[in-house]
Amino acid sequence: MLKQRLITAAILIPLVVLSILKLETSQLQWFIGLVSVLAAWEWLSIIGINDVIKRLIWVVGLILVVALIAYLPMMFILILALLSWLAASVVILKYGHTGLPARLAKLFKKTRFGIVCTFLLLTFFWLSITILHRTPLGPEQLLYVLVSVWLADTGGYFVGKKWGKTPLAKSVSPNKTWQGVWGALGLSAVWAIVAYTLGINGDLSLLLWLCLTLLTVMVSIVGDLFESLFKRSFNVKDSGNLLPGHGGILDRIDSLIAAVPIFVAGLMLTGSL
Amino acid sequence: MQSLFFFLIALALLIAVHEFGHFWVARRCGVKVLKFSIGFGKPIWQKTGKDGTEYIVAAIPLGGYVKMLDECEGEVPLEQLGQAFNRQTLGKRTAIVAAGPIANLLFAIVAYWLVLVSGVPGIKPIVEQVAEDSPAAFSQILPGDQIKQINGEMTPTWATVDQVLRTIADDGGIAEITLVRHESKVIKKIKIAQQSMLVASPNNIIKDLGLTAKLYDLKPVLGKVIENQAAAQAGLKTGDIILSTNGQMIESWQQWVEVIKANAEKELSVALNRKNQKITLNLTPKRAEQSHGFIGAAVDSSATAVPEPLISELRYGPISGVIKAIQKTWQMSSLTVKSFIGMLKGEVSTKNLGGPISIAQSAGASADRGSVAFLSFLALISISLGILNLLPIPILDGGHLMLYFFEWVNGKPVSEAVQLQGQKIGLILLLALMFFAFFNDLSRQFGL
Repeated sequence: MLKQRLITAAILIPLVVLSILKLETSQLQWFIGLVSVLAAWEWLSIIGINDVIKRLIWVVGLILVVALIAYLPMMFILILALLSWLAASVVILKYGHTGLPARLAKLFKKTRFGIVCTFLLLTFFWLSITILHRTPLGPEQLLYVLVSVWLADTGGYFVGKKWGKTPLAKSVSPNKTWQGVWGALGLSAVWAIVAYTLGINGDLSLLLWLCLTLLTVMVSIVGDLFESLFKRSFNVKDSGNLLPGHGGILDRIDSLIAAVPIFVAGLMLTGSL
Repeated sequence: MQSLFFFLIALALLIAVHEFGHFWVARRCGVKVLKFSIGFGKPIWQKTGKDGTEYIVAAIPLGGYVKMLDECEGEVPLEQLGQAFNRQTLGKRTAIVAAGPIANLLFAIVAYWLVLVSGVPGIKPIVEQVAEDSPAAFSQILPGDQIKQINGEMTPTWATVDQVLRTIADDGGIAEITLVRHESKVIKKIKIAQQSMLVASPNNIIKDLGLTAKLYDLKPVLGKVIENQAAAQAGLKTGDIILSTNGQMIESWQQWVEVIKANAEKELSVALNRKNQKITLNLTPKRAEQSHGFIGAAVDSSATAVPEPLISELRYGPISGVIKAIQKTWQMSSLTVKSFIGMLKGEVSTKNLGGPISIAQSAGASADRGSVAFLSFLALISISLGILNLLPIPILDGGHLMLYFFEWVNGKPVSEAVQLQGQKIGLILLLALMFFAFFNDLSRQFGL
């Protein structure tokens, strides 16, 4: 299992890094589009759309929606993304332990609500990557977010395993602890400083850069939990087995789906996009 | 007064189109339509159809409505329940509500199609001069070149060249220009600086590239005479045809401009033809900044027919015209949305928000320029009407669609209390918007 996981990673990581650094935005957007479509495919199956034809129609619908929304000003898209993830964070923090109150629980069991969430969140993900990648420092900063989230995952995992005791959101994901969160934030803070010395921050001050990174990492954890919340609502364990050893593609990018839009929105609000 | 007349015709027509969209789809869905009214207020004409629908033309043509059988708006007899709007499935109700804005967009497509198929006259884009060190000079565009295509789009007239370049400039980028030079094709690339389409007074993009259009001799007929400038002070009037200055015959407007330029602050004796009477006036050109003479008058270019070799026309075949008309409608729709969001963000001056007065003026102006211009104007206003109605503001069609969307997600209709609150907010928003538009109009009219 671990061997398989490592092999998959050894193929995927260089592929992702190279595409981000070498491809033009106009080419990369198709690659990201493919990833988003695959993620949507899995998400739609989680929320109970088992009919392949129906799922196909919704995926085509997603592509059309993205094409339409791409015409709106980016500020509009990013602020909407920020608000959406803010709302998701509130839901997770407020009801993570106790479980959702009856009305919300009912909403989260609705397939159509799931479809709306899928559409919104993947649209934000797809478009925010293209918005960021277009800028002069974009490819480097995109890679920076990816590494931040991966490091946060790793830091969270090890710190949580060794010292974890206070659960973060018991009812959604019993394995996540506050100690793990501190580990994730600590490791990504170190990484933020390293990146700052490399000049990836652009014209942001160290303080702002650090705040933006930590915010991004926190929301990435919310993204992870938000997907779990959906899985729980629909009684699903795995989201897919597209990547050998890693489960579904959605499990790999659930944190990123939240992290990238927040990072890009932050860059925009600090005026450095 | 004439502008107002054309404006009312345009508005009544577009409202009729919009309401007809609702009406037609409602009937198709088996909903009973009680009233179909163009305009509101006191009916000036009405007729009850065999189907029981009352058709009304009312006095105030600033709106219209389709009243359908609906339990929310009154008692419905038991046997007609199936024909009530509120009893229809979500899909049917959505279709009926969306049909109005869609009808407006379809109307725009048809109007643009008519314009494109019947042809828009213009001047052939032949380059006369290329300014030194300009982007055009760097790209090796030469005098005498005819611009044939830009990024694959045909550009038979200077107006289309301008339009295509403007679309490219909206994002900024490279224009690939296909030229005809000595009867062979040449392709040149030229970088276009970014300039938003939403700027109120855009630069002359063709001039910025360093290109000058090939012109022809214009007849020396005065179009516009600016107040308090030399021409007006000397008593020159719109419509005057210049015959000679100081005894020298004037053949063309261009020649007349040269004479004026060369005679700053010198008195000229000008002979002219005003309504077939010969008049002689004394004119002293002022000295402009560039130190040449200036009198403050412009040519009436419509007095001269375009010479045959420069006549061109933007015209599409019936099939390619359909595609082009759809593209054009899409382009104008997205521009409408963009400028609207731009206004909310404060990027675009809200002065662009034309209320009834300025729309009436454009209606009159475009009717003056002929049926093609009026059709384009109708298409544009139809698009605005359609898009405006799709805004997610309660009481507009878009607001209803938003409620239906929530109904779809939630599986049950939005509660009446919430709907009522939403309508209040929507009404306030709409009134604020109308006030804004009217205020801009008034300040434009009176320079407030």
